[in-house]
Amino acid sequence: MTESTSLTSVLEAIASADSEAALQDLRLKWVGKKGWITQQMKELGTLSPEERRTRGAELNEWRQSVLEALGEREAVMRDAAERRTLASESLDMTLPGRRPAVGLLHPLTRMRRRIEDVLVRLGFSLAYGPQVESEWYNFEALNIPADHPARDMQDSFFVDVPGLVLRTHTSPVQIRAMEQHQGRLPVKVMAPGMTYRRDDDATHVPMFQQVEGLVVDAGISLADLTGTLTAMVRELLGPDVGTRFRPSYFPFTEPSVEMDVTCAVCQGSGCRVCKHTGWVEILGSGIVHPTVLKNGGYNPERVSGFAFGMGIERVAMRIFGIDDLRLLYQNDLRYLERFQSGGGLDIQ
Amino acid sequence: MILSHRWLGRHLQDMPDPDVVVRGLEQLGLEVVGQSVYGDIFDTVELVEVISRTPHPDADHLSLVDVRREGGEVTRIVTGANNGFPGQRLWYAPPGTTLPDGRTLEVRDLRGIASPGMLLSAEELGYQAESSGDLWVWSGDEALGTRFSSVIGGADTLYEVELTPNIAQYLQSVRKVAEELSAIWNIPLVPLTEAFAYQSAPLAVVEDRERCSLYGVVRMRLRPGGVSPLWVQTLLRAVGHRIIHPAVDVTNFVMWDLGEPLHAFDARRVDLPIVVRSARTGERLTLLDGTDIELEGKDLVIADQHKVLALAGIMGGKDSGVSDDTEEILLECAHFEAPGIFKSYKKHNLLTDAASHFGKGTDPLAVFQAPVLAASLLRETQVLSEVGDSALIGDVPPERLVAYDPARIRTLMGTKWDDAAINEALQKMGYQLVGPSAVVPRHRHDVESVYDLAEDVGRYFGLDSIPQKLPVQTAGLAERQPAESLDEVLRDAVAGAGYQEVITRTFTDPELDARFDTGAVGDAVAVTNPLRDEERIMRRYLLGSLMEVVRYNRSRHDLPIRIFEVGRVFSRAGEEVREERELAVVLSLDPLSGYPPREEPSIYDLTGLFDYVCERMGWDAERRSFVGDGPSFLHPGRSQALVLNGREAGYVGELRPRIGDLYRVRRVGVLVLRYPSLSIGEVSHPGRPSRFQTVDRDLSLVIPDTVAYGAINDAISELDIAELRHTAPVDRFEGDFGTSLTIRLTFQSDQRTLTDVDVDGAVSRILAALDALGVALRQ
Ligand SMILES: [Zn+2]
Repeated sequence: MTESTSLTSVLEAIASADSEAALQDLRLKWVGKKGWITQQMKELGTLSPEERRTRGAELNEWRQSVLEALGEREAVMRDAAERRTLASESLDMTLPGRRPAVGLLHPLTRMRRRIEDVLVRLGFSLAYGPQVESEWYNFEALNIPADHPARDMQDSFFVDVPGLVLRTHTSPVQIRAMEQHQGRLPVKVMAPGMTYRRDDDATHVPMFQQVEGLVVDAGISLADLTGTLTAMVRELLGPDVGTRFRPSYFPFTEPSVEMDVTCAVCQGSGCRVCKHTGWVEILGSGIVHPTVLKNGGYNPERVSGFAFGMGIERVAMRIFGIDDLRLLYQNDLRYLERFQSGGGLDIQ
Repeated sequence: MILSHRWLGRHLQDMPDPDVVVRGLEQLGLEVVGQSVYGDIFDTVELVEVISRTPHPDADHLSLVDVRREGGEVTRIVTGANNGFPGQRLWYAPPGTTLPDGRTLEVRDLRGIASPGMLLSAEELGYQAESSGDLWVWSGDEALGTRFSSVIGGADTLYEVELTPNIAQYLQSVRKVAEELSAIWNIPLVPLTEAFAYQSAPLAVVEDRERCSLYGVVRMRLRPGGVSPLWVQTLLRAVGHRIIHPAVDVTNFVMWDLGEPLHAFDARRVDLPIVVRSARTGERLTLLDGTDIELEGKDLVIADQHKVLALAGIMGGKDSGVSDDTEEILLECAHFEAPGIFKSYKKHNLLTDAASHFGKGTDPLAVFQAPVLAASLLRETQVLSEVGDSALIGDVPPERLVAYDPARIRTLMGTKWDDAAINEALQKMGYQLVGPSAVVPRHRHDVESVYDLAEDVGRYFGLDSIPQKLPVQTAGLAERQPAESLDEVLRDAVAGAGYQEVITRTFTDPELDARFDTGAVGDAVAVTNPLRDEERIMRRYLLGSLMEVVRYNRSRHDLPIRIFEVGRVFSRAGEEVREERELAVVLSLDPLSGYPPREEPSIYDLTGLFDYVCERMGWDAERRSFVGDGPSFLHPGRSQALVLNGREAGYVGELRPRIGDLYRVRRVGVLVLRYPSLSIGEVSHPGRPSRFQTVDRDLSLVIPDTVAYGAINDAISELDIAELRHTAPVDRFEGDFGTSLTIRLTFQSDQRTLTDVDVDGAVSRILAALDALGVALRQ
């Protein structure tokens, strides 16, 4: 150092430098090309070897200390500068996030797929038919002739094309599927689709969706029906759901069977929703009527079958816990947004 | 149908609790949709005795009646009744009682005197009584304070059951329900009385034996002024009937008890013999309810020598019905063929109780039970003074046989029930078994084959007693249908791109449908019996339905619209209906409000969606200008035709703002694509990624106003430069020299690293091609 300046005071000056510029000045003054320590080192050659060694070691030590001090001070100042920048860049992280623009499938689409998935796992292939259907497929082939009291059960929409009707159920696909199989066994199909009836209230809409099921093979029995439907319903509604079967009537099945499940609201103890019975109906089914088998090209003496039809909305209402079916077809976007989770394959 | 617990008990020697009854009914297929109680409202109505009657000091027509109640308490009631004298025992309803007509009684002030509750007439309780005054003077010897509910036997449980059409064919009868319950419960029935022995007096002629196989008439002499037994009135009240006249009450009672509707003609109004015949064209009949109907040949009527008396099996005529002064009736007990009655009541829209029995099916054997029951009921209150002559025309229909094989029933039901168990079940359910046949009970019009026998065996044992199994031997590889799977991939693609799926009704208003008519399809299919005027055709296009969703939402919320539907559209093709698949997407283009801000939606979001979706689907598709004018509802400067497999299949663009205004959304983009069901896409074959670096070149071009980007892109594509991997616009601005467009060309080779020489060569070919369009490099 100069004769009047000690290393300690240089290091203090570095440690208290308050700007990049001041620090740069100090760097030039002491360890820059023309800095004092650098100059002193250049002059070592003029000293005797003995002095050179002593002085050289001293200068190196000084240089090292100064460089370290400069580095430390630089780091401190860099950190402070970064802190200032970061502080100035802070955002209000409590603002609502920008949610990804991902569209949702309609809850009924998700519910239909969920049912299809269960049935595919049970070995049912998919089959389809037109929504504007012939009266033959919709009625006569299903053992519902004109003037049959059962036509009272389903108030139909007719169209201005003679002989056609908006299908009142997915059951015509039973006949179509049997025709397509041309006598081959087994027939094991499900048919999801839009159906129409002249009804409009909290539990009925004029356009709704059903899933039909049909199994035809040698030796198919009511026990197969109850076993399959119980397996399906437990997959859909959970393993703990209670089930029961009651005799009923559909023209295209004999015997006909309705399936009830325990009421989701009261778990079977009885409430207003289940009319204090503890049970709610989930689907209609039965052994395929021999006339229907014949109309599909199968011999009822050799094979038998079972069929069922289930309203997709009814399952959706139960799983989503809603009591007015019309809400599902109102397409209120704010309401549809509320069906974010569940109903697809993602709930168990 | 309402079933009374007590009424069922008339036929069964032992009656289980109501919850057992509900389970039994449901095991048989009678769905119990409701339960209620009859008679509990009479729990406060008490028997009292009049001890004094004095005139009201301030009203001539009112009296003050003091009654003694249970325990000696005396209550004063003001009444306007013409009886209620000392010593008479009456029914008294204290304040708080609710009467059958719904009135709840309280303490009333009648001309300055407080009157708590009421002394009752029979009518106020819903009953008829033989009484010479207004109030019901009770002749029984029950103690004071006895409740009215206890003299009618206490409260009764009512089951509201839903009858399926097959069960309605034979089970609209308390007796028949009791018979089936008796079978499954193993509780003996109360035996029926002996059959009535009809005489063969010349009372009736049946012209149409096909439609009326049995016609019985019984003459009965009645004492006017009588009423039905209290218990009969109670059961009828319980199931919802009014008490009218003993002769009418009895027909109602027998109808529900045995399932056999009877009809009572006033003998004075009938010119015998009765004729059962088809109506003659133009004949008219005034029904009991006063309506006048015109008959036609298909109607079966009951007539006499001069006039029509009744529409057979449905409703009697007004002129021949019984009245208070009737002294002699002709009681009709008949069996009609159900389909004929069904058609008649449907045609005249007369679903009477009788019609719902005869029109669905009755038991021919009930014709022999009914007169005995009717007579015994009328005799019980001395209404019947004498059974006169009678006649029965026709024969009991023969019994039917169906093939019976217990093994077949086992197979259909999938059970191990042995032959003996199945035989016993069927016998209990009323069948006789004769070798390979079962004799069907005459009232079982629903039974056609061994399938029905299987059902009855199932009902007998209960369906839940059948051990369940899975038809695993029938399981194969389940298949999906490619066309519908394609719909699903499409749904996933569009939803994944940020659009909400909606499902709209397929019927719509013709005007709304026509608004988005592109002329691409034929006429609409009309719904001939719509629920609403605005749902009277099947939609030909999806867009109208989606725009209604826009309107619905915009009238409720201020929110951006990003919706789509994949659905069916319908049109006529001659005498056929064509059902096609369509995708429609709607995106509102007005600026988004909100903070943090978002990228503004643009019509390029929809053109980009189309390009993306077609890539996802593997479709051969492109966008191009319309040949001729595009649809008039689109913005002519912001729309394009969509082309699939070389054919125009839809459009993308903005709606004209004046159309958007109709839906509360001024700027709105739409995309509509009608795709064939067989447009199964190509699978991508992406190869391997190149090892060599890409080289980008930006070209700043000056372009004439008439040259669209597409033309530049096409010109470059036509050069077919293998190493040119990608062309994209990166900047566009207007300067004093015209419009500047910067495009970025991305080159890459699979074989080697490209040199500047390679790229320069390609770029100069491109510039030469662009030169032909009047496009040049900006200097
Ligand atoms: Zn419940």
